[in-house]
Amino acid sequence: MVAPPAGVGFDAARRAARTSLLTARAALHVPSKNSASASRALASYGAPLRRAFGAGTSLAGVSEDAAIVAAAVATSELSARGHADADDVIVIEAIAIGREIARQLARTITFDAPWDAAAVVAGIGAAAAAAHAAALDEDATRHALGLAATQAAGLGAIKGTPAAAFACGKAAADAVEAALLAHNGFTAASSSLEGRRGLAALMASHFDEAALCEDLGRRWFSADG
Amino acid sequence: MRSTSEPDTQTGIAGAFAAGIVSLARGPLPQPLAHEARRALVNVLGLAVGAARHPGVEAIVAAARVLGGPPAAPIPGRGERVDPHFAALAAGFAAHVDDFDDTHLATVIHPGAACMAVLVALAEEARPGGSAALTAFALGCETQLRIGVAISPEHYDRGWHITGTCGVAGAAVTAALLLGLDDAGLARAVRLALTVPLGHRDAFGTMAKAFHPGKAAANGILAARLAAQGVDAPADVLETTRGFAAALSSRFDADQLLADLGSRWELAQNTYKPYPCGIVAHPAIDAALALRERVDPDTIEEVRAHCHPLVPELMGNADPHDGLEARFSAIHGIAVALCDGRVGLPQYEAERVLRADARALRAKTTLVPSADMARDAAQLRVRLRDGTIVEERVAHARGSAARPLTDVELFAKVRLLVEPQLGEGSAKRLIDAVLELGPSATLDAVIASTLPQVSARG
Repeated sequence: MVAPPAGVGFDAARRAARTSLLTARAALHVPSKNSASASRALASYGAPLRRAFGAGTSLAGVSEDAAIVAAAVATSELSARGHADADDVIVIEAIAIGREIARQLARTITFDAPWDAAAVVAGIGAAAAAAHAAALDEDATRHALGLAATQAAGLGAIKGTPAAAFACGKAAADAVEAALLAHNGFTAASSSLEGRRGLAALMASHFDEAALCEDLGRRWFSADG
Repeated sequence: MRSTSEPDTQTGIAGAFAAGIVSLARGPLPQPLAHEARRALVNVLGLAVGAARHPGVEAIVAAARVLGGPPAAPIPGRGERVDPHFAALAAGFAAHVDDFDDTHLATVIHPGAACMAVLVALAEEARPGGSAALTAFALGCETQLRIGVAISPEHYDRGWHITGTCGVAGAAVTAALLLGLDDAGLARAVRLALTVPLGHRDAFGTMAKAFHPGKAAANGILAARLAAQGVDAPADVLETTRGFAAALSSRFDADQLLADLGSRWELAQNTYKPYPCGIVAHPAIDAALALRERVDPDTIEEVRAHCHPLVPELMGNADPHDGLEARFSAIHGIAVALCDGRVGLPQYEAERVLRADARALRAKTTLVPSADMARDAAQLRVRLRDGTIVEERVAHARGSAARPLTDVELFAKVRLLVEPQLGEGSAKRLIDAVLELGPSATLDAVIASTLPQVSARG
């Protein structure tokens, strides 16, 4: 078990995550055209991936944390620990972690022009959230993040179109899948973000690794929006 | 005559390409191409069966137990069933994990794994006829390869795993044809597939590499299912400034994608690996196997392998510690070829990788990259203890385009993969079923031949 998150600014980050969760829950009460298509397209899929995909698709455009919230909720529903999480403690922690990772990546990576940076980092944030909700240890978390990195996508060409909403749903489902695969021993690159053929090398012109890792887990920046 | 259609702004290049694929799907495959498609299919099915018990497949099956839907699809070589999504993931992963699958040399795409995985996942749901299944497989492979050619070599050189990135659209074509999408639906599936590419070369040496074709298959199926619901991506998603080609390469040659559809077949250039490691090391391994005939490995002082610069770039691991690392170590392939006189899956077991004779010979072996050396050529220069120099030059590696693996060699490879898993006679059943796949046979027989035989009694 990994120690629960803490540090300067964590309470504020957790409050922001809680707001994000409540906003998402309210939004999901309103059925969208996209979610009906998603539900029919994914009829042969299992409930956890269908729910993650559907929530991510519906929330895209409503919340910038759509994939993160959808992945955190769907993953936490898989375990007894998640079911016992009546006050949403775990799921809110997971969202806070996912938001923090996504924002830190967006802050420290200068993506190439064709990529929609927010969509790319949301996929990694969603995997970080799912990893926490699934209570993965450090190694398994690294593998889950590696799987998320190698399939992080987000073409600028589809930003704001229905295709982006479905890609957001897919990022949430991918994150749940990555967490479960890693939990069961699946491996991925350990340098998936900074490696010579990793995410930053392929999708970005600049990556300030030192700034990303400097205060990670000690200072939280994601409270402010 | 060229069959290029200038894409108008309404259709976009992806739509023009999809229209070409649709028209090819209406006719029969040219006979030699149908045979090449069967060769590609039997090779990846054999590999998927051979790797059925890989820990990565176990992890996928375990995840499917928690995340999967109704078990409507089989997994080659195994008794359990999972949902189509996880069947695609498992089959595509297993076919690529031993790095022993087919290769299109100009792009380094391994096209068979993802499109085969779509057949496995959707066979029961779609129940295609044999000809339709083979056509769906062949056109899916052709799609991957043509997209790959249009963005090569810059795309792979930058660090993308082209088997994953281009695999998604190919898998989407196979899935759309199997699921019976109409012409506009297939075009939507291709456009959606282009929005969800995956695959970084940083994953090489981990299970994530073989995850790429498995997930490409799953993404292709998802794209086809969304397309069937009318979901679409922008018409210019391939060629626009923030689209697929611009994001993934500094080069995009639409002519390579669109021109001569139906007369130029990239799938005809597909090749099959004789050795279970990265293909760029194969010429040097061929040379080492030839030298083994006249050199006692105990007398070797030094081995210098003159090779294409991609060999150290892709397979430069100097000190592998397990089978996966050894697959990215050209000097390991050379060393075991000289020690054992053969380079098969047993030469990539961890125990073999770590044994003293292989370690010692690896330490004596140096890669000497040379820009003059062709990719399918190599020269080995060996100095023996008594000072003698022995040399072997390979102009075209076994399994290269200039020296293709024969059907006999290919079927022998499949037998060694399948029979340890499914028993004596199982490889013949699989090979016969794939060779018969056509107007008079169904895909069901092929899929059944990849599964453990259920006893009639009990």
